[in-house]
Amino acid sequence: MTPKPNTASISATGKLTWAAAALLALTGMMQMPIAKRYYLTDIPLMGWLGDFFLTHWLHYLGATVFLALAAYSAATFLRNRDRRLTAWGGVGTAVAAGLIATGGLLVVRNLAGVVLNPVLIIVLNLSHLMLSMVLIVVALVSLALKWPWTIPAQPSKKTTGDR
Amino acid sequence: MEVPVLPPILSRRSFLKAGLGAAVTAAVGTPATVRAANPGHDHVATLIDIAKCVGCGACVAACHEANAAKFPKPVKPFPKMVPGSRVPVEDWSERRDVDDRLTPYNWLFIQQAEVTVNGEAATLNIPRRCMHCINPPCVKLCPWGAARQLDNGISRIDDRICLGGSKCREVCPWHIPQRQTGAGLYLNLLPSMAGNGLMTKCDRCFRKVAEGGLPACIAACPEGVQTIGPRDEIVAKARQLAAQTKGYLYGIDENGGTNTIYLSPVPFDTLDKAIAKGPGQPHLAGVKNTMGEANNLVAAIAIAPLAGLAAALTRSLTTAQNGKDAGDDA
Repeated sequence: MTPKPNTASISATGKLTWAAAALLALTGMMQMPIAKRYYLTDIPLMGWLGDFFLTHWLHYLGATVFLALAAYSAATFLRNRDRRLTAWGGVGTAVAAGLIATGGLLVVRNLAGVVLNPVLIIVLNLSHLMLSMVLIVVALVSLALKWPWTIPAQPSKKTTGDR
Repeated sequence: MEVPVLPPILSRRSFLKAGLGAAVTAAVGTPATVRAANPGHDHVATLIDIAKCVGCGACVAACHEANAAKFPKPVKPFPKMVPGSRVPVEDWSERRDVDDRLTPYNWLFIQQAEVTVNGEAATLNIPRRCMHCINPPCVKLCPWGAARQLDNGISRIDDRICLGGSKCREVCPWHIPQRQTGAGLYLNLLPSMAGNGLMTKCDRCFRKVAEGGLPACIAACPEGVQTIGPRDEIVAKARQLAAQTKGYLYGIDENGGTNTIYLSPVPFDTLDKAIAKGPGQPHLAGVKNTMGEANNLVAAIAIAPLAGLAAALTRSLTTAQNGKDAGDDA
């Protein structure tokens, strides 16, 4: 049987996860000095985009919410075993995992008393940025084309063994 | 439309194990210095005794001479910036002699304050430069990693990588880094759309310090205004002198702690009111721990995945229990 694109609505957990990811994407992009330069701070009620410490704090807050939801979703998926990861879901999960890993190391880097290798810092910064851009594309494709990340698992065919 | 699935040989368990293993190996195997328990105690710090400074400017001249080779070498004409109104040209290349403020070619200057000391009018001279914070936002928040912190706490900007975005200047509580348009890596990338030059600031003569020498400003000072040494010793000496002279200290706790400790005969809020402040002329007001607010969320970040797992486990157990109860009734 051919699986079809997901036509069911996203669960509440899924919506919250995407919302947290959107907050992370926005506040993450604003870590670059682009908000004032490109007039984003001139948009009504969006002056805060140019406040580097606020967007940094909101990025950490978004990460807290995202990690909790991602762990919840991952644990539920692994426990229930009634769904399988699609190849597209594998791509999205791998990109998210890369963002979590690079982001985690950057959080460690920001602690007082931590001095990481400067080349590693540059690699972490660039890969975190590149992965976030990939995830934005993955998100847009997932939502626009309704490509599912998981599908119901096929029940296994059992032979009875009767003679 | 057929949706491809992952082949069964890549099980969820093996994928997770391999990923976690790789992440831990990468993090642990990479050279890193972590002294989070008492950050900065092994940093190099400087005590600046304001009362001793006569404002001769020998330190400023020595800084110029020692760092001339590192100054930006702009290429003109500068690229046209987009949008022009939001990316001002900052060109100090024809004004390299300006020494009454920080510029890309002047990393140290003498700030003057007309105050009253022991009932008499006096002019206090305050050598000003980068504070070399224990947890410097210029280093930690640069999106490209162009600024770096050495193990001894000195922070410096790498002119091979800096694009001149000036976020470091904005997040620095004293707005220390200064920008020179027309120099640096941005010229080879997207010169009109991203970046705007090179940011520069005091780098504590890090090469001289690494070789066991003194920063040029300290070596040149005829009055012994500055004392350099391990931070713990410098802070102890600063506190001792402040107690002896009934003086005031600045820089020990500002911005979560810096490695530049000023000793003054008058309170720093008095000095802050008396000095000229503006671009390139930093204040002497109190500064909260700018990196601390976000770092306060780190515990939440660490606990968040566990909370998610706990919620999933709780839901799973509740569902299983409901299923069992239903079965019992059958």
